[in-house]
Amino acid sequence: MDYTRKKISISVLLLFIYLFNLMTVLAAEEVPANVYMGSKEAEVILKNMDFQDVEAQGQDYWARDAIYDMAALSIIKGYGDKNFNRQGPVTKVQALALIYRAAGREEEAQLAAEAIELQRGQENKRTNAIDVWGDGYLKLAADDGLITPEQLENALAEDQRSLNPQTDFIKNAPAQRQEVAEWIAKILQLTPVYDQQALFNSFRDWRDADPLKIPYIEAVLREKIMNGTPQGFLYPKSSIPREQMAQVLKNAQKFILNRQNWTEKKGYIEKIARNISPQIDGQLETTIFKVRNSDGSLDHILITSYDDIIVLGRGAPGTSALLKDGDSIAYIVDANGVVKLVRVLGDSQDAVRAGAIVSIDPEAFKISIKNNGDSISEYAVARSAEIIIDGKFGTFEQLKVGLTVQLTLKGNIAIKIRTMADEQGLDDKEVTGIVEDINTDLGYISLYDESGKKSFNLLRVYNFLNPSLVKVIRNGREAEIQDVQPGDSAFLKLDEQGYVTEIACSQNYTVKYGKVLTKNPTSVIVQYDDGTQELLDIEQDTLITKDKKEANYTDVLPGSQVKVVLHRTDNFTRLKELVVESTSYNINAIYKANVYFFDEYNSSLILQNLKKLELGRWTLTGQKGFKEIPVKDTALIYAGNRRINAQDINERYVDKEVYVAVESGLGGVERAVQVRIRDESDIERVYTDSIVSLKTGTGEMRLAQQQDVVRYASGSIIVKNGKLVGGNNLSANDQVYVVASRDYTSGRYEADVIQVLDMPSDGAYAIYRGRIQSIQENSDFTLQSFSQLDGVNWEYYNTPKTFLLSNETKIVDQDGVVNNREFNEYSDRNYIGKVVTVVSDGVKAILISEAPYGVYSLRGEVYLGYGQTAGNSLSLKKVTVYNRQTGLWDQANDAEINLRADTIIMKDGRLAKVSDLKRGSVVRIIKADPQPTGEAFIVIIEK
Amino acid sequence: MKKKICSFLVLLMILLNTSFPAYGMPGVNGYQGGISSGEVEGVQTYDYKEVVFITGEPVVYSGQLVVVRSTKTDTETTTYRYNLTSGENNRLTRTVVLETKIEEKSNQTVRKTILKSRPVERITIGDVVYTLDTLSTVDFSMSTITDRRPACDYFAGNWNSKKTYSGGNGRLVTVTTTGKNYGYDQYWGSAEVQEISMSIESTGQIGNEQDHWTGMVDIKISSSTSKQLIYMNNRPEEISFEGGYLQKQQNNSILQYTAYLPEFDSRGISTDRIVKYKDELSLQSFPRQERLPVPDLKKIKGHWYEKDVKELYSLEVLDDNEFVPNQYMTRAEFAKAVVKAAKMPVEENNNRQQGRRNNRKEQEVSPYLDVPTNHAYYPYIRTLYDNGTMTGTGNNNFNPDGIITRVEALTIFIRLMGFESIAPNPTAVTLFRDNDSIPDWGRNSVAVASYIGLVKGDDYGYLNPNQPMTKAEAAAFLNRFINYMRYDIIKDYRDRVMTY
Repeated sequence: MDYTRKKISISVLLLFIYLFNLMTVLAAEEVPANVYMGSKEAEVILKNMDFQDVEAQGQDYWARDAIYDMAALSIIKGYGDKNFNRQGPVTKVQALALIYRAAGREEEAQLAAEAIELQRGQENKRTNAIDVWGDGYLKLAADDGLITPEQLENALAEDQRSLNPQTDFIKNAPAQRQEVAEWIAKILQLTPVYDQQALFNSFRDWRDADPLKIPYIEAVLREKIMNGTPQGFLYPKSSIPREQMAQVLKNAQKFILNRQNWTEKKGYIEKIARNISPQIDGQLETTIFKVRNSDGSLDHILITSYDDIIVLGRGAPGTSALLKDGDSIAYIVDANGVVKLVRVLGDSQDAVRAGAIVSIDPEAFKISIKNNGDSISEYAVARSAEIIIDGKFGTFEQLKVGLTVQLTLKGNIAIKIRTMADEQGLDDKEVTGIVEDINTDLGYISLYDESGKKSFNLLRVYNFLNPSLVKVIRNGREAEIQDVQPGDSAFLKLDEQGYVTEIACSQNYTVKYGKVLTKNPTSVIVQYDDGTQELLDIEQDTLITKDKKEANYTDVLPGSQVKVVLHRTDNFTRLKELVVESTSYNINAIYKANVYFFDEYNSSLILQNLKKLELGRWTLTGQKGFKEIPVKDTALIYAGNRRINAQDINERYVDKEVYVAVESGLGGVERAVQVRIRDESDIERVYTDSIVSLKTGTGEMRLAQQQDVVRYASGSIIVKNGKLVGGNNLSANDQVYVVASRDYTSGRYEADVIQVLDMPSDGAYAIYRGRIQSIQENSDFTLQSFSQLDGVNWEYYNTPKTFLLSNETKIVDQDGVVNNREFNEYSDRNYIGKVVTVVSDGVKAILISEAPYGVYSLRGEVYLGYGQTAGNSLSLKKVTVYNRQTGLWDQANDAEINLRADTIIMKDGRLAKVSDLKRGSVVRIIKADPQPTGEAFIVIIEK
Repeated sequence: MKKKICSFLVLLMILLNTSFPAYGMPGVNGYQGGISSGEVEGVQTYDYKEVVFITGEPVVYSGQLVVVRSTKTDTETTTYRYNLTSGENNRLTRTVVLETKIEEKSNQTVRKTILKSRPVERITIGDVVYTLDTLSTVDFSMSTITDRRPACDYFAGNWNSKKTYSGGNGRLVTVTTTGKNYGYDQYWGSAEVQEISMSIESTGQIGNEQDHWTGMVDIKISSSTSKQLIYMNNRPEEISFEGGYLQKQQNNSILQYTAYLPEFDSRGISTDRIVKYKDELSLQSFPRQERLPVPDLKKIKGHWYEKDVKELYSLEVLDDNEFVPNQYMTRAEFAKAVVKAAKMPVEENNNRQQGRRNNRKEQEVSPYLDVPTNHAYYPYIRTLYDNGTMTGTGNNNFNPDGIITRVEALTIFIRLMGFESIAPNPTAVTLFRDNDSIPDWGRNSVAVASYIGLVKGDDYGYLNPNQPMTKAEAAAFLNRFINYMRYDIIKDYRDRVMTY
């Protein structure tokens, strides 16, 4: 017989034998829900995944499971040379190949490769098979738009050395992490995230990424396929070692399974049945692995002498010979019913089984129990097993048939047997208690004793036949069995056999209040009101809210007040919800003054010579003489770096100079939250600078302009985002105002105050000007052509531009606010043909002003600003005017400029208010003429 | 004539002695969304602030509020008179009379309030005068429930109101309010929180155009009375005592509002653009102070718990002449200290006997076999039995000479405050390592005490529930309880409501 016919006849024979076996045993045996087969390629794959360098790393090697899993699934291919090259960087073509294979497009790539080969002339034919296949993946990448046609050309070029590494696509160059992220997102079809890239922005080196790739990187981060380092770095441009790539692919497993139409199942091997049946030419060995799945159903895996399965998790990868009765396994099956791999889970864990005793063998020390689905399993009992009957220690002899027990197994031997506690009996229809543990895979739920005692032998254990059939109500709403948590208060309804049919439960979470001390990319350290601190991980299902709305992790700022809802058990603490303060009692001033005395009765500091830190300078405030500032009861008061009590101030520190950080507290009352008394022999220096580097351990900062290293210590007042924070929340590139003292004896600088400037938010607005051509009422309007303000010049574009209107669009003219209902084509204001100035983000109109056209720019420093002059005018000094001919800024006289009702005021790319024009601000004004008087049409606050 | 005067005087005395709620917080801010400087003994006129939104912009009015209350059997009538100004020329005057029916049900009181008569109101803002529109109804309906616990009363209520102003020129403004309030009342402090949601609907004509807009305002009010202990050192050395405690009582009210009101164009017509206004105001009453007696406790100078013991003596919670700090405290002694700490009214022994002589025919029977009615601590033990705080050790025994343990003290406190209902069902499982050695009856109280931050356990996670307490340790515990009632519970009612 030829090979194929032999194959067919054997399969038919096999089926017949199997069915025959099945029928004879049918009376006693359960019918499996599925019958899966082994794979004919198993042996070959195993040989190719014999990686000596991986084995040499031992059982605890972190990437071991990922590498073997991906190799077993034929995503990672070995070439029989026993080396995985785990630390080598993944090249670009390798990365594409891995990801396309993971997406199940290997065949497509091979066809593409063959097509390319055919097109090559004889002399150009590739000699290396791997190279040929590589081309196939590159072609797919080009077709899918992952690389450009030019890049494909580079990649297919014969002479790779002639390519320019700076500009060309070098396929064998290491792939960058950001490239890998983009390709994974695109090939596995993740949805790119275009708005709020919260995770991405939380990394310190986010600026190193290619902006076009960011939405894909964000998508990959959200699915936790790539995670960055715990220190908060993403390293977008770095290469990625092959072992890490394996782990990245494993992290994407659910997408891979989805794309390839594979399923992952979990269960344990109830029994291995080996069968040898005589054949015409020898014997046919079949092995059936009967697997009880976690949902209660039974599957069979059928292995013959011609196929096998890859078994992982028990030493080096091997065949089905590694499996034993009772093993807990996870396995992946493809769309054709072929098992791709089996991973043994149950080796290191104790397994738990529950059921009723059907027979006891006292001599062999064995018992059989009947569990879910009516199948009977036999277990050996260890001689030293712990046997607890009705809550008390007992002996093996006291076990009786019919008792419902819970077994704890190691390997397949029972080391602990427990019967249900006394009060239960099978007559109880409803029981209540606090949930100790619930395991849907193994089908049981355990409750603490009703008295609240935790001892193990008082636990009450109940089983469910089929977890998905149990009706669950949690917190008054319909829920799934997976939603029931340890710690919940639960009521269980039992049927006649004592199985759980319904569960009603409510959560018992702990609520605590505190302040965020440190914010890490995926965790926070919170200091509670009672002084204790705790590290809490932000999990997938942690809800972050603010103002009763869902918020992002970016809304959580170091120093903000938070409420945390915790799920606490003896084994773990999970953060369920993080509520961020909606009213921020921010630090709104930093003062320097002399202490007059501390009023104990009213708990307030009386100060004189008060000055406020404004824009990096000490300026006098509006209040003359003495100022009383209440001190918050939790305020921190330092003499240098030593904590003191407020009462101590009157004993030794009267008349000393102090720095005071003040918050706008409850009731709008200003309150001191941190006070630092300075040593007057030190010399004070104030400067504006930016941080180059930080050594958080020793508290040292290196600043860009200042030469000496400046230290900060426990008493330093550090304010960031309006909150008092610790030095560990400072980062490189922060712009800061620093007030430092130079120690008289040591000459070293220590910062008394560090105030970090708020970063400008992304998405600056731009200023446009043009003639209105048409208006769609309440929807949008179009300028027939427009100019955009770029620095000191208006750049003209002879194309129309449309802006969207919304309820937030503000319209002003010289009299003030214009009703947006009048902004249409037929109103008396005659907007069609009118020239307006528009502030926009490029799409929406934020402000429409009728302020006139100005081409002259004037710059100056405000010395009488908002509130200090009569009417709406600004007094400026250090004035310079831009000379349009020379392109230089000429000196000019002090200026007095009037503001109109429709003057546009901007700061940091956003609209600002007149009150932001403070003394010391540097402004640039667009006006009609270069004179130091007149009206300002546009005011841009530069500093 | 003499008889009439006599009976009139008796009637007056009865009326004056009718028990008002202990320290009377609810209602002192009125229900108009404003805050007052709070109730002070002997005073009926308070400082008051309120924000008026009817013109489309927040305008702050401040001035005086006079509150007059009178009670007849189960009906209470309260009159509020407001007299406020804003700036030089704007005035607000208002008179509201509310009628409350009081119903007692076991340990709870239900109060239902409606308007007794139509209120009168007049507001001038700029050159417009607003008065209540005669053609529209004014509605007010409120219901509050008070839950009385041994050491603290808690209340919660809801109200709805609606009124329409007419501002001349056909302008009508309707203000619809929904409010919720909650609070607590005990000797060491009291607080009320109000959460109010107001909608302001305004219609009118400006020039030829109809102007119709609706704005929304959220107001949070927190009003509290606190008693703070301040230690005053004496400057002279040659004086009989080196320092003593001052108890300072002060009321503090905070108003936080967030208003979403339309922007107005240069003609005064509302646009579609909504502006958000957010601000906070506060008022304080003038503090009252009381110098507390100075105990002679030089024997414990320098002891770890010196401060706690001194405070408790000054507050007259402890009065033992022979205080030995490391002597164990008995359950009876602790019962007396607890009654004094919660300032519960108790009939001293002599009164009880007099009462019996006067008109009672029944014999007073002790609920406990081991505490006779003439026991020195009987009145205190009896008080705690009557309100369910200490119920004995079983079998009608109290075990007065037994030593008080940590878990007993915690359970007593949780019952005093009425917090047992916070514990999970059926019995809490705590995270202390010695969870199982906590007596079953005390486990819920321990869980609640741990939850509110009253007890933390030692560095190893042990609670040591059954450890007996010495007098000094008990003093520290009691002081911890009192400070919880003074300073901690208010955070839940003030800081957290304002911040989140």
